[in-house]
Amino acid sequence: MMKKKGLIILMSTALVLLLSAPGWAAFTTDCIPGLEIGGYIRNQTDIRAASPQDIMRFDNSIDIHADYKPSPHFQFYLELRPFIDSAYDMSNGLNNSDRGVMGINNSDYSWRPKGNHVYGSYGTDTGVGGHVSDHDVLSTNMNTSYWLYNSFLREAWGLYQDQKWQVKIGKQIVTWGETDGLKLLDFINATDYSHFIIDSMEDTKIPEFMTNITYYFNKDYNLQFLWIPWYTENFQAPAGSAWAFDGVNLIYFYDHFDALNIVNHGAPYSVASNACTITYHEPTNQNEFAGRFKGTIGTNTDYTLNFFYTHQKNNVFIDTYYNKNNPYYASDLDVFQFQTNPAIERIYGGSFNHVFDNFLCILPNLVMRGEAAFYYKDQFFGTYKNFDYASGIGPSIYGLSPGGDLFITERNRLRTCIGWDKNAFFLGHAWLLSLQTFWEHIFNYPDHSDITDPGAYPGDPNKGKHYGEYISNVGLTKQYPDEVIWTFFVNTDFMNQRIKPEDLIVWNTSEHDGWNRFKVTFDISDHWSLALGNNYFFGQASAGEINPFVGKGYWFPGGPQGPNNNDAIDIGNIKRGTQLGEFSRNTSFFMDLKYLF
Amino acid sequence: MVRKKCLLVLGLVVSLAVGAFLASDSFAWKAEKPVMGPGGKVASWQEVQIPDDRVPMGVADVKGAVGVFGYPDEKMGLDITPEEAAVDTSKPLTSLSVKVAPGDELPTSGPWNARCYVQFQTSFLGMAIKPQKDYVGDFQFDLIDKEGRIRTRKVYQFRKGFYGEGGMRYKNMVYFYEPSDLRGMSILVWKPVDEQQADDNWIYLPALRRVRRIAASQKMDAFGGTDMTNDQIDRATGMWDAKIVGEKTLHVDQAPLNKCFGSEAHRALIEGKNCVVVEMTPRNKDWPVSKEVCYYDKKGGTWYYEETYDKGGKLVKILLPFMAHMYPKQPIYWTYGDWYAHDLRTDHKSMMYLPEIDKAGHKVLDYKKRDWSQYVFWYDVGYSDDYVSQKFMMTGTR
Repeated sequence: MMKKKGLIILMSTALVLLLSAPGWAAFTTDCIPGLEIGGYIRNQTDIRAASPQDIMRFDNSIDIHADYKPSPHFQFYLELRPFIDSAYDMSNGLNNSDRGVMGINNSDYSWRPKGNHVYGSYGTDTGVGGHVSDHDVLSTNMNTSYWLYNSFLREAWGLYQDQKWQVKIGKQIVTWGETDGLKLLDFINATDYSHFIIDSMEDTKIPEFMTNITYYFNKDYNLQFLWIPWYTENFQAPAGSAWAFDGVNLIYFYDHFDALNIVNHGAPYSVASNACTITYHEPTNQNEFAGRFKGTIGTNTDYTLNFFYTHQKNNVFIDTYYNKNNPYYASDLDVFQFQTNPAIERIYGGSFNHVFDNFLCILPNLVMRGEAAFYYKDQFFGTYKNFDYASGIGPSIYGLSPGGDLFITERNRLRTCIGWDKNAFFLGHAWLLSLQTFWEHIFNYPDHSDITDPGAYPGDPNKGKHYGEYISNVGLTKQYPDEVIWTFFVNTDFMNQRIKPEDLIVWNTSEHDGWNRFKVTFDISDHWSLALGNNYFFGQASAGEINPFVGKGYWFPGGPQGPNNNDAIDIGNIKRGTQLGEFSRNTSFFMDLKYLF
Repeated sequence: MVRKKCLLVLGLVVSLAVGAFLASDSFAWKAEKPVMGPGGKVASWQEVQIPDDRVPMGVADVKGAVGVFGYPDEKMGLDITPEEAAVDTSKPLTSLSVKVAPGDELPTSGPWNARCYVQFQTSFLGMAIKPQKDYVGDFQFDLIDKEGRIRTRKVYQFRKGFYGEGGMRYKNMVYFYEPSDLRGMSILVWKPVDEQQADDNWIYLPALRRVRRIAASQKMDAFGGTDMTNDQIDRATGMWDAKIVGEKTLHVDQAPLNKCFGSEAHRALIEGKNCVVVEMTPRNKDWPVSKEVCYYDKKGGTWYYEETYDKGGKLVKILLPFMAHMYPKQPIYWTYGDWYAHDLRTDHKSMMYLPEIDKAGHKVLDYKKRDWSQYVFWYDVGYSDDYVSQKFMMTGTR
């Protein structure tokens, strides 16, 4: 498999070198009029600020695209983008127990256990924690099939257009909305979160096969319809990798470890691995539909109305069930069986932008843009109670959640954004200033009033304790009923656009965490560009909430405890931080070198 | 399943592309070539067939569009008199569609004042001088640093005059096709008749796949990284006070023209030209200039030369624009040529020009010889308004 990918990379490099030769341009224009070929060779390197020897990314990619327009009515586009992230290869042989890179099954792209487990002293899989072996080295352990369809073959589509119609069929990217950075309506394409949110939108959008039809009533009004026949989920950084959510690590842990302490009590590992399993599903009906109406009011206001029937793209929702007839364990006890099933999501929304000639007579030429999205019955994790090591978990027969503290709930959600853009001239340079305010509201948020623990069993020391319940985000930390996030972006240029510094700040005032990215781009020549910068995450790295499954509490009187082994506790006891704060460990410096042709 | 998806998508696209290639037909495009007679005047016209790849984007949509070749010798265009160009600076300038602020009205009698020259220049740049309807052509910008390193940008430009229709003066689309990191980027500007109103601006970035309304560019900001400001490319006439401060005959062997950046041939064009000197001072006191001094041909209104002075009164930039009549057919339209700008503080220079080598690789201009005979002008093609709309921004490229 490595040989295959290596061969593809080698051939692509040769092709790039050929295409960038001066004679090629003449060949394509003379022999095939309307054909343009271009692309780039790129290296992205990220180094952890706290430990500079820790290379988080050493990604080499080649992009080749061909754009063919045989006539004004037709266009065909093909883009290939193979890549290799050698950071995972470089970890081999390094004695770095903090790396924690896991391997992923090569049969598909999901984060499932490796075929061969290396068992620790307590019978648990110790493939975590720096032991990298027999894995797929291409960026965050993407397997070959996924790499081929979603990266190597990036886009491929054909387009027909005339005065009224535009029909575009194939693997493509569609962008909606008016916001930068955070997305409200811009969910047509799934997102590659293998490097969280630090990469550009162009790089993180996963092109999808779709039929894209737009009807132009006139130059001011048009109606767009999309049909996406195949479900694509967001690509999450796999468990153990640098950008994995703590929640992803947690769920992987369930599937991997002797969470029930079964092996520790003498049963074989096969019992443990079947007692706690995760099954991954795609939706039965994968069709997704979207529609957008775009219009203009006067000459200085544009607006859209949007609707999207889709599936939630973070395929991490657990639908628990119990195998009451589990042959591997006592018949009167449930064991934990999880299955993920992407829920249907309906998004209703709209956007606008407007230019003020002179806002409040003090700010001329101010652009205001806004976006709103209503998510109908989104699925969330719910959490019953706060946990400590002593809290009890157990099967449902005792009235407890079979997933521990987690349950699935549906809530309506509203997300809005207002943004302002202004050009300003000072210190002899033009500056772009852009401010955005995001507000998210969850309707009918679970009642925060205290719940009194009735006690799981006679003598339960938790009886009478008070807890609150809340909704969790993907990272399994508390999501607030109202969250406000601010973003501020500023950029300028020096030396006739040779040097372009910019800074982006994202600040969640509800969770008191955020992200700052400072970047300077140097246009060395028309072909070479170099960007250097820093990603700084701040906030609560550890929320103090711990994995209930790790707790040593007894499940029921006389019954087994939670995992009583250091392997499981060390890995499973994931201290979940806030969504951005948990990545404060990943504050890093980056370099992005590109050669374009 | 994944392999099937890959093959399906690839197969669909490739087969459609092959089909389109096989089905595509070429059209016999024509252009008219002037046959010169005595005295450098056009004696007759010769219809010449030109290949598909000489026809720019937008024109290819209009079957029957006919281009016009330029003069074989630039001097023929430069010798066009103001009378032939229908310009008379001794009489009121009445043919422009612009709504000015109170106090900025153009005189209704007598010769041109300063504001007339500035408005006329703006209208030329906006192709808003009747009877001209539209224009399409490609431009090249060379950014030259003090070490002589050159960065190049190439764009298509679409301009349509609306003469007040829908409240618009003109609409302008600039579409980048070089270098590769800018390829596909486009900027759309709608300029209203009312000069007190801000322009409407949009930008399309292929990386974002989205058309985005943007705040009007700071007029004093550099245009595309060049040493020309946005204002020099598209003058905000309502933002300046203007007055005629005198007259001057230009001599290229005298300062500052004797050392200014520009080709010898270009500087020779303005040798001996009798100019009115218009001094413009910004109404916005935050602008980083104290004045711009423009030199216009007194009789013909041609814009020859401009100086920029900083807040301290020091000369910091010079601009040699090209404003002439290389279009030999009637009605005689104003045309672009080679512009030179020089920032004296950083010694950075910029050159904006119709490229000598077009997109298809044909040599169409020779600035050394000043030969325009292979260059095809596309005026009044009648292309769709779509080319100056958001629709084209999305569909003009990937």
